[in-house]
Amino acid sequence: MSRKVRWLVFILILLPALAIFYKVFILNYSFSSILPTAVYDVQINLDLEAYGDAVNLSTFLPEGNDRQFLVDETSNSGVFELALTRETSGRKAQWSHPSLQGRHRITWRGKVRCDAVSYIIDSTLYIRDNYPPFVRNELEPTVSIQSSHPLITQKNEELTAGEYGLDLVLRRFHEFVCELEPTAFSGTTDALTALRLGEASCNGKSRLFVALCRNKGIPARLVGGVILETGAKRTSHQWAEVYIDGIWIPMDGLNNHYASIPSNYMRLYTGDEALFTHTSNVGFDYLFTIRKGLESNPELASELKGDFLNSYLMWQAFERVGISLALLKTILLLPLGAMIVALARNVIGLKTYGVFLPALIAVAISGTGLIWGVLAFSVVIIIVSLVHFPLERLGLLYTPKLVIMLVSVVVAFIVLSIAGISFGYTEIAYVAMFPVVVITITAERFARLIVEGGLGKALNTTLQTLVVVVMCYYTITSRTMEAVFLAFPELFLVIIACMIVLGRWIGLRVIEYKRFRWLAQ
Amino acid sequence: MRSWWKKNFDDVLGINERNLAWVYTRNPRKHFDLANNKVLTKQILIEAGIPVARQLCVIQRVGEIAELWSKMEHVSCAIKPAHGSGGGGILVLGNDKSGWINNGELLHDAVIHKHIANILFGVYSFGSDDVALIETKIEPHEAITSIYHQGVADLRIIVCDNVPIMAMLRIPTAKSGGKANLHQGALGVGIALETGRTTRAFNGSQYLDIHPDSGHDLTNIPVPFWKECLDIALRTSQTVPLNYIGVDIAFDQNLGPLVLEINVRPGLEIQNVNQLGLKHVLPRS
Repeated sequence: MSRKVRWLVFILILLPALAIFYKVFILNYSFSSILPTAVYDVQINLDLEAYGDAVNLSTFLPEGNDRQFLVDETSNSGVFELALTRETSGRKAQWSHPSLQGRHRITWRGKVRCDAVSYIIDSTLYIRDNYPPFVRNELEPTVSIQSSHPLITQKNEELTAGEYGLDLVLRRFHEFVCELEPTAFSGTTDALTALRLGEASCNGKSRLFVALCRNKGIPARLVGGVILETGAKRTSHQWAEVYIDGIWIPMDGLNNHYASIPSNYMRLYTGDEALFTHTSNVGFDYLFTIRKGLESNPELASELKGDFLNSYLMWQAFERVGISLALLKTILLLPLGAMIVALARNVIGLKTYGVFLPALIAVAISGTGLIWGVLAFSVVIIIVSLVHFPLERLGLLYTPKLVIMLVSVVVAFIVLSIAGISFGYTEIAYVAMFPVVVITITAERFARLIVEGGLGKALNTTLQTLVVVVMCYYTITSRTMEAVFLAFPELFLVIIACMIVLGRWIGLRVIEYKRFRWLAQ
Repeated sequence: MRSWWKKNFDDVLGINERNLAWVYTRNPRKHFDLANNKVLTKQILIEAGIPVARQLCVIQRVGEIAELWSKMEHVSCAIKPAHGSGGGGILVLGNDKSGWINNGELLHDAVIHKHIANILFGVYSFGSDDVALIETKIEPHEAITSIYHQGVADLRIIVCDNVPIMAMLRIPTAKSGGKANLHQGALGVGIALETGRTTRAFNGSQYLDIHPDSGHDLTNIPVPFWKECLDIALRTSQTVPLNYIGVDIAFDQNLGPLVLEINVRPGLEIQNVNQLGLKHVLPRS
């Protein structure tokens, strides 16, 4: 490489390095703030089967609070009447129907982000004997939290006789509950039963913990929610909270979280409530479907300083004129996708449809999800292959033939979507969202490959293209990459530097070592 | 490990290096068309007195296909896209009293018209509009047909800075369907430049001593018109302002060696065929 090129590459790397240094040390960009946080896409499906009677179903829906953020909330109540009420226990949704017949589904969906919370309980705090009126209720025994029962008192004496230090007492209770044999979730266990059996599920442990606290004179209550993790589940979770100086401190005796809860605990209600209540004349089932995703922190620009090098101010300017951040992110990451294509072609030696098409297909797929995107791509390939040979026999000119292929692909998409929807696989409709422009170019490239080198070769190139598409997809949809490029758009200069180096690189491509193995004999 | 790689792949020219160090430095892009456009190539070579197949007709517009085709001399011919590559889109037609014959099959005029139209629409030239070139069919020389009777074999000579550096014969097989395209299954036969005799054949997966279909020996046979071919390749290289080219030469029974086309990005498979890296024979750059 010539001196001039070396200098150019050096400067193209030095400038962004300086800018990044400035942002991190002067503007206080920190990786924990720019890196994306976990956001859970939560879907609740409620299935009812009824036989003509009046039906009622109520549950608690997640809501925003000081550690829980809720966005993009949508629900589909179907034939039901929905009433939403704010109660002290939580946000209650009640669906009703005067004469429900047959199977019906209610869905709720939203994106939830929760923060982890952790407290340190000051060891100089003592149990008080006077509490504000609104928490006095949380000292009273109930049917399933038998805090005044002699056995609870006896256990309390056993664990904490003569002790009044809050931290110490709570720790003893917590450790005791933690050591109880855990059992799988199976209905409701009251505090006394948990104590007698010496084993309990989450709700039994939490009730026992609350009962011990109340017995000792510490206000405590139950909290119900769901532990968010990717997958489908029916299991809800219950933990406890104790009242200390105006703050409700979380405690989880099942998963051993003392004065803390992790960031995937979604709260639904407060108190000893049932998550679902419904009229008895109905068949009922429910399912939580949860998918973890990553999203960048939207309030970042305001957290950082108003320096002209602060790239977040630049992105805000786009938002002010109505250009969506989603579109911007796509454009921002497209060069990165193109770089992946360049590396795959010039270093590995993969064959692809053109230079930018794999990156563009990856962008298209990012709108539908990988599986549906690859399915859409395959549909294009299959339809074009099927239509190619009969059309060839008809003896049509090239361009009109191409239009017929495109029509076939679009028709196939519509038929597939409608079939999917009518058989209940609504996700298949996503395939139809695959951008038409990309379909057109893909179909044309594939058709030409068949003409030029036959079906086998065309499929081979298609497969290699698909490999590169998947590589691009994971790069383009990476929230980490997105966050890094939003924070440091100067990295574009580094891409240019990389491409200058690659553009002058004369090494053998990986597949050439295989191709020219004959010379190594 | 590193030295093993170095020893074995040191002489191998890869695509990256071919383009960057040889094609871009020796073949100015503005002159690419001299090689990529067969009509233009033919014109220049004729002016320089280099033998080529006789041009019968050039068709540029869809509207003139029927008229020009009907005026065609009734001689065996080949229809080629001026900007085609890898032998794609070439239709070879024999002629007898009944009409145009391709691979023993009678072709209707409409089929030929459609093929020419496809050429003009750019099906064989990456989508850009093209021109159809019609020239006399090459009658394969008996020195070649004796090896294998079908299709048209050709000779590829790579010339760099007006020095022939590597050569191979490309001989069709049953698998390649009469095409002299290595990717489609034709045989590449290595040639010792000093003697003009073949070394052995390569079919992409193994080295062979005989033609797999005819059983004809492929080792140590003299390439017909070898000295003349070298001279033609050299003069071609001197005629065009391109200094790293592949010259393709066919052998006509009556006219002897004829230049088929010039390639500005000559393929690298020739290294496998000769089992010799191009960097071994290229001038020190």
